[in-house]
Amino acid sequence: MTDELLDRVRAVNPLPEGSTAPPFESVFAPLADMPRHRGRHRRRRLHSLVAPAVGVAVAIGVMVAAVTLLHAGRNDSRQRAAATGHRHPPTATTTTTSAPTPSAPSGGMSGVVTVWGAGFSSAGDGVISLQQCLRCEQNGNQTSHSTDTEWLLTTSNGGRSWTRTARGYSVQRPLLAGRDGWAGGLQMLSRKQGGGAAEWEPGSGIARYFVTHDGGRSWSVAPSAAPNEGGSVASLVGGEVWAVGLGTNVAILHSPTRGEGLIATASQPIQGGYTNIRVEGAGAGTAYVVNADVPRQAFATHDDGRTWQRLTPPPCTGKYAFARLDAAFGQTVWLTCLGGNHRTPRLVHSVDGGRSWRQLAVDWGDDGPQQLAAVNADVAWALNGEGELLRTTNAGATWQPVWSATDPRVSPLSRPITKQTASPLPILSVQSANSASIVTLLNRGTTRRAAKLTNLVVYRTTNGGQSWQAYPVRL
Amino acid sequence: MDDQQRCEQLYRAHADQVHAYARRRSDDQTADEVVAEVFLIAWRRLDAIPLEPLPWLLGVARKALGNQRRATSRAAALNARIEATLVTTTGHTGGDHAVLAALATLDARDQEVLLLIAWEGLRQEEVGTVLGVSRPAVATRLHRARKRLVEALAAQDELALRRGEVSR
Repeated sequence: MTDELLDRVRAVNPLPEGSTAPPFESVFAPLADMPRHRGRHRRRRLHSLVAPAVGVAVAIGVMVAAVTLLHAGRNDSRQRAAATGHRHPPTATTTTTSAPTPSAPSGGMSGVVTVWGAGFSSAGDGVISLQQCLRCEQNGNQTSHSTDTEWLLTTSNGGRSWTRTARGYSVQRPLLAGRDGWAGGLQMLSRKQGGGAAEWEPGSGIARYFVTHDGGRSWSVAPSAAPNEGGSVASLVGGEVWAVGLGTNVAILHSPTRGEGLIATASQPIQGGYTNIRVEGAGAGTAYVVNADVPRQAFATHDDGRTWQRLTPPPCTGKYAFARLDAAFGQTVWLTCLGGNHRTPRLVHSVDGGRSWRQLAVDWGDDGPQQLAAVNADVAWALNGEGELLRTTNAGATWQPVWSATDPRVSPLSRPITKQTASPLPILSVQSANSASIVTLLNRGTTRRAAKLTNLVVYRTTNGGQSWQAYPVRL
Repeated sequence: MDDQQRCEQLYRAHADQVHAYARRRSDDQTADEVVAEVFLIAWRRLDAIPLEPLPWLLGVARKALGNQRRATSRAAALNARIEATLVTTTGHTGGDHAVLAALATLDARDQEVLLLIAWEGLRQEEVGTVLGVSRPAVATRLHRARKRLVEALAAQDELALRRGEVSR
């Protein structure tokens, strides 16, 4: 088919010159030991692989089922079931819900709604940053006609009531500690011609770091030794801030005291224009870094970034490589390594700052844990790829499912959100070993381009996930 | 010819086309990963590959790209948003901006049909294999996509004329 119209489309072919596939050998060398005709890769569910042999586990499972039937309504069945290596989410009668069962709010926000991040403090302050794009494509792609509005939702009572304000900035992954907080984000520069005061040209923001001192209600640009730099990731532990500056060359930035200035650490663990680097501070001058671009490497510092040590967990060598820095707390660090070609991801864990490592015998599905937060050496919370929240109290040896938007046996909603109406992955914010909050999108109806109306539901637990408060947030 | 040789022949014949397909829609690293995934699946399912393998391979690549995007959508969106403000794009900058802008206004399905034909050089029936739809469905989508592209181009041209960028 040749005509002028298609010729014009051909002329904007974006393929870079010299772009070719990798050499045959580099792709097929790892296949030499791979079995053929394995069939469709099975989506694996997370299940704890604790010691008991299969027969013993089955017997225990039967016992647990019997106990559950005899004592329906007891709230501890979920934990006991998971601890035995079987997932038996509680029946509806065993789910403790101290909150009023929410119903979907009427009305809602139109356009494509994207939640950039959510952060909560133990004191009940909370902030959710979201973008409303009108006339966007369903996947969020902006068209020449589209308009951005950046909204900040704030609460001071743990989520019972919310205030919504349009802002000239967008904080992404806000982190709160008490009334103070830090976030990477965008400062909007160009108002939409002919639009309202809060409507911005898509893509007109510049990257900045932001601070708050009022629990997230207002944010201002943080001073930095490189004022024109910003980044997307920061951690905040005990007033210490760590960040990745995404300037011409990536740099690990650190604010060692409660001061607001971010400066590059005295030495950098890796040089170059890499963009897939994550840092997690762990308090007392300790931080961990993973570069998930080639060369995939991990580092630790225990002296505010003056020196860096390479981390070499044995499970992450050979055909496995670092993919993600999941969480860090003191001398505890969690990493995910991927093997490619459908090998099961490996979650590895160190409690001594990276000197020794343990590979956790759990199967997290194809992608590993999507969001993981560690609050001490033993307790961690993690969302898997299916949007389920799990919690461990024994350093990852076993995990208990504590929440799912789509599982009626775990969800506190009487009418659980379905996969069609829930956002693909909720956002997790952990405040302590027992307190966590989850933000999910609640979409109603769809048009050809987007959900017709969007609201939020915020879930909060203060008892380790045994019960949840669910707060619908009308946008 | 044993399976290893057949796989190597398949790779040498089509890997660049699969890579080009993925590279037009993602970054270089993702394109490499998609190529590896596509030929891993091909290796496992050699007996299922049709005589004309390219549309089948592109169909697998399309799904692999979709999986990659779903897996990293939120993180990628965040990073892309930040990086877009910091990194000067080195990709396509010249050429027909009106066409790019007009293409961006089409929905994803219309774009896909047009680009599989214009960029990948596929015939309508091959596009059907990639997308898993019948040839009439491809024809219908193509007709609609062309109509919408013409309308979008007209709107772009009008916009440019108003700005005084184009004098015809």
